[in-house]
Amino acid sequence: MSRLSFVKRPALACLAALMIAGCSNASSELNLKSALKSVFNRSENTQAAAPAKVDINTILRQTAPASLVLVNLTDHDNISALMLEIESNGGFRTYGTAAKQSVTFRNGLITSTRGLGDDLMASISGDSRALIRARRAGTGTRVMDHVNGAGELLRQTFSCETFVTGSGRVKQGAVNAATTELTENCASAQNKFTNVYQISGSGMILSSTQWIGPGAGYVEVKVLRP
Amino acid sequence: MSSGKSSRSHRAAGKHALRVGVLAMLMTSSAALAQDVTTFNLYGTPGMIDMPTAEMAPDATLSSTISYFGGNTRSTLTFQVLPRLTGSFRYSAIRHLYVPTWTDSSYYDRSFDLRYQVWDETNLRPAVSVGLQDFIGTGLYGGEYIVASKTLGNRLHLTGGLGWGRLGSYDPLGSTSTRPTEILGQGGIPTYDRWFRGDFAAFGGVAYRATDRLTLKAEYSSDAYVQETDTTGIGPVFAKKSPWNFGVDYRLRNGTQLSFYHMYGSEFGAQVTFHANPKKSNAPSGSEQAPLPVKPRSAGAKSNLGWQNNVELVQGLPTRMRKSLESQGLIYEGMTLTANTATLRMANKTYGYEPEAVGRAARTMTRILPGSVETFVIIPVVRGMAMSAITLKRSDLERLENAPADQMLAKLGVSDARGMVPPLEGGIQQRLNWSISPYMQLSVFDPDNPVRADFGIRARAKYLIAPNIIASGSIAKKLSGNLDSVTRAIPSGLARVRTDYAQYSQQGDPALEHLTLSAYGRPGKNLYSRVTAGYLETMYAGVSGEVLWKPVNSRLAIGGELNWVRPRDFDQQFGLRSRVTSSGIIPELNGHISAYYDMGNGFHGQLDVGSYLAGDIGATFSLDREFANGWRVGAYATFTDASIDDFGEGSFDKGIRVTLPFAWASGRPSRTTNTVTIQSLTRDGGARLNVGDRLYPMVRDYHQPDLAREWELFWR
Repeated sequence: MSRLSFVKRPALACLAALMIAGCSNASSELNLKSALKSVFNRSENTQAAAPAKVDINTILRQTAPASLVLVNLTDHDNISALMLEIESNGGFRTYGTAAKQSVTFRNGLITSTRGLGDDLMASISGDSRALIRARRAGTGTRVMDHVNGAGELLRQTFSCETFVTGSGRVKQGAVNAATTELTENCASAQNKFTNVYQISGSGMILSSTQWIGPGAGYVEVKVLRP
Repeated sequence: MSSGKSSRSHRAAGKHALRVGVLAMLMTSSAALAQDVTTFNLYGTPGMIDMPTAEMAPDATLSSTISYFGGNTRSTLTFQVLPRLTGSFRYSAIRHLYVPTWTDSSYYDRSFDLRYQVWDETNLRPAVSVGLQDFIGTGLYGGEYIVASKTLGNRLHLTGGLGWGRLGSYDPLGSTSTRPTEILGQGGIPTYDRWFRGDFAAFGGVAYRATDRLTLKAEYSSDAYVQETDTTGIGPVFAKKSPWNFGVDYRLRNGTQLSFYHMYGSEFGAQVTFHANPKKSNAPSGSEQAPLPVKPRSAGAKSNLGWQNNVELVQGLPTRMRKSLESQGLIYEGMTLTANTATLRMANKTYGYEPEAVGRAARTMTRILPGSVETFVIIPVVRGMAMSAITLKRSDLERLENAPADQMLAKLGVSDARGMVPPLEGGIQQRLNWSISPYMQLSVFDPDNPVRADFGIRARAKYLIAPNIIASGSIAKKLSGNLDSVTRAIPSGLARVRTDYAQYSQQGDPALEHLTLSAYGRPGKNLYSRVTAGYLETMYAGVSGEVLWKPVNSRLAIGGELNWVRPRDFDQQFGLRSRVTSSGIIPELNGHISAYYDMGNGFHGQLDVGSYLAGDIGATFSLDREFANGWRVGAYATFTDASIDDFGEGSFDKGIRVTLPFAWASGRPSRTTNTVTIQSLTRDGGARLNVGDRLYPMVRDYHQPDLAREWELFWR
C-alpha cells in the first residue's frame, strides 16, 4: 500500500465528518463527535460487553479449565458480561471481559474494577473478609478508594455490620453447593450500601450482590466455575 | 476573547479560535451537580434577585449567567476560587443609558467582583460575607456590602445586609465620609478610594424553597438605579416604582437555574445560570479499556539469568513490547536491557493522566520481560527530549498492585533522564500529522458590536524531520462572519503591535496562521531548549529561542526567552511589513525571564519579567487554580512602564482564562484541552509574542509535583 492511499482514506472520511467535528490522521486524538456522543450515552462502552445468547454449557466447555464468573451491572441497564480469570497475584484474582473491562476479587469480594467507568480503584476489607469466610455475624470497617472527575482521591471509610440471613443452595454453571446467606450493611459519611453473599461451606462466595461505588452502583456476581 | 484547542503538553498560546464544543460541554457536563448549588442573582453571583447573599457555591464551581430586565443585560462568569472566595467577571449592556459623550444606543461595561465569606453558617450563627462589586474599572456597578444569611428549617432562607455605593443609593441610613467620583487613571485600576465610603443603606430578602426544584423569592433592594432612571438625553433605561422585587427560581435536573422576576414595580426579568465543576463530570471517568494486570514472577524466575543466552527470546522482546504498548495507545521507541534493569523509551499520545501511561507501561513490562529484570526505568520522550527517568521496582509493582495508590507513590523514583535515554528504534513511526477542523473566532467587548464572530475551516499539519525537529503550519479560511466589520479606531501611544488586529482580520483570508521549523534539545542537566523560526504567529515572523531550567523534583522552574521579530503583512501570507507604525516603531527584540512555581494545594503562579512587543518593560503576574484532570481557571495582569495614557482604556492588560480537558467532558482518555482566554481589551502595552509550544507545559507533565498530583491514576 502506498503512502498516498494511506493518507487518502482518512481524507475521504474527513469530508463527511468535517462540518460536524473536524478530523485528523492521528488515531489517538479524540474528536468532538465521539466526545459528545459519550456524554449523552453513558452506557455505550459497557454494552459492547453484552454476550450473545449462547448455551452456558457450551461456554463452560470452551473456556475450561479457566475460572468463569457472570457479572451483571444492575444499576446500568442490567448489562451482563462473562468474565474469565486472566491473572492472579497474591490472592487477588483478576477477571476480564471480551470488551477489556476487569474486576478483581479476593475471596470473592470485589477489591477493584477497571474499564466500567467510575471504578473502584482499591479497597481494604480485612475484617469483612474474615467474617465472610467464617460465615459469622459481626462488625468491621472497609476502606474504598475512588477518583472524582478531577482525578482526585475520594477515600471513604465504611462501618459495616454483617448478619446471617438464611441458607440455601446455589446451582449455576459448574457450581452446585449448599450455602449460607450473609447480609452486610455498610455506611460512611457520604454513602451506604447493602451487600448480600451466598457462601459455600469452604467460605467461598458463590453468588453475591456487591456495591462498587457511588457512580457504578451495584453488581451481581455469579461464580460459574470456581 | 480568544481560545485554542491544543494538546495538553503542546499548548499553542493565544490561538484566536474557539472550538465549537466548549460551550456545549460546559452546559452538558454538569448533571452531577444536582441540587447543591445555591441560587444565583441577576449579577450572576450567589444571591437573591438583584441583591447578594452571604452564600458560596461548592468549591471550584464555574457558573455562567445571562440575565435581563428593563433594558439591563448582564452576562457573568463566576468561579468559586476557594471554598470562601468567589470571583466574577461580567459584561453588561444597558439600553438607553445616558452617559455624557456616549453616542450609541446601548452602553457596554465590564466589571469584576470579589466576595469573601468571613463566617460560614452554623446552627446558631448566620453566614457572613463581605463583597466588592465592580471594584476595577469605571465602577458603574460599583458597590460594597456586608451581608448575613441564615437558613431556618429546611426551606426558609433569610438575608440582610448593608450596602455602599450603588447598594447604598436608596433610602440611606447614614454615611461614612464622602465617596469620590473621579475615575482613577484610564479605568481598570481598583477603585480602592471609594470602598465602604459614602452613604450606606440596608437591603434584605427571603427565599422559600417550595420543592427541591422551585424556590420563591422576595427582596427589598437598596439600589436606587440613579443613573438608569435619569431622564436626561436618551434615558431613562427603565422607570423604577418600588424597591421590592419578586421572583421564582426553577432548577433543572442538571442544576441549571431558570428564574423569572418582577422588578422594581415596573419590569419583568429573566435569568439562566449554568453550572460546571471540574470535580464532577457527567461522563463516567475511566471507561477506557482496562489495563493489563501485573504478572507476578515465580521465586525461581527472579534469579534465573538463563534467558540472556536465549537469542531468540532476547531479540523478540522489543517486538512484543512494541505490540503490547501500541494496543494500549502508547508508543514504543526503544529499550536497553541488562540482567536486572530495563530502560524503556516511550511516548504517550493517549493519556491526559501521565501516571496512567507510566503505570500501563510498567504493567506491560511485568508481563513481557524476563524474571531477573527487577528495575524498570521508564523514560517518556516528548519532541525528542527525554523528560524524566521514572524508576519502579518490579517487586513493588507485584506487591502493591491492589493497594491504595499512595503506597506505590512512596516507592517512586524520578530523576533527570539526560544521557540515559535509549536510541530511537525502528525510526519515526508517523512523520506526518494533520487535521482539518472548523473554527469559530470571537471578538467581544467592541462597543460598536459587542460580539462578533467568524466561522471557517482550519487545516493544520506537522512533519517530524527528526524526533526533535518539527515543521508545523496552519491555514485558516473564513467561510462567513463579521469580524472584518471592525471600524473603531483604537487610540494608542505605543507602537501598534496588537491594535491593528482589525486589518489582519479583514485582509487575512485565507490566512497562513503560522509556518515554523522548531528544534528541541537537552543542552545540559535540568535544561531544556527550543528554537523556533519562521512565521511564528498571525502578526509576527522571526526567530524565537527559549531555555528552561527545571529539576525533575522541583516545584520551581526558571525560563528565558528571546525573540527577534518583524511584523507580517496584514494579508498573512509570506510578506513582511515595515516596523514603523503611526504611533511608534516596533522593536526587533523582545523577551522574558520567567519563574514558574507550583504552590501545592492546586495553585500555580507564574512571573514573567522582560521587554514586551512594543518595547515596554515590565512584568506579568499569573495565578491559576489547577486540577489533576487538566482543568485550569486563572487570571493574569501585566504592568509595564508604558504610561497609563499611552496604554489607553483599561490602564493595563489583564484577563482571565479557563482550560477544559476533553477527557473530563467525554470520560475517555485524551491529551487534548481547550483554553479560552478573556482579555479585558486588546491593547499595545504588555503584549507578548504568541509563539507556539513553549517548553514549560510539556516539561512539567512528567516531573514532580505533577506526577504525584495525578498519581491516583497510576493503577488505571
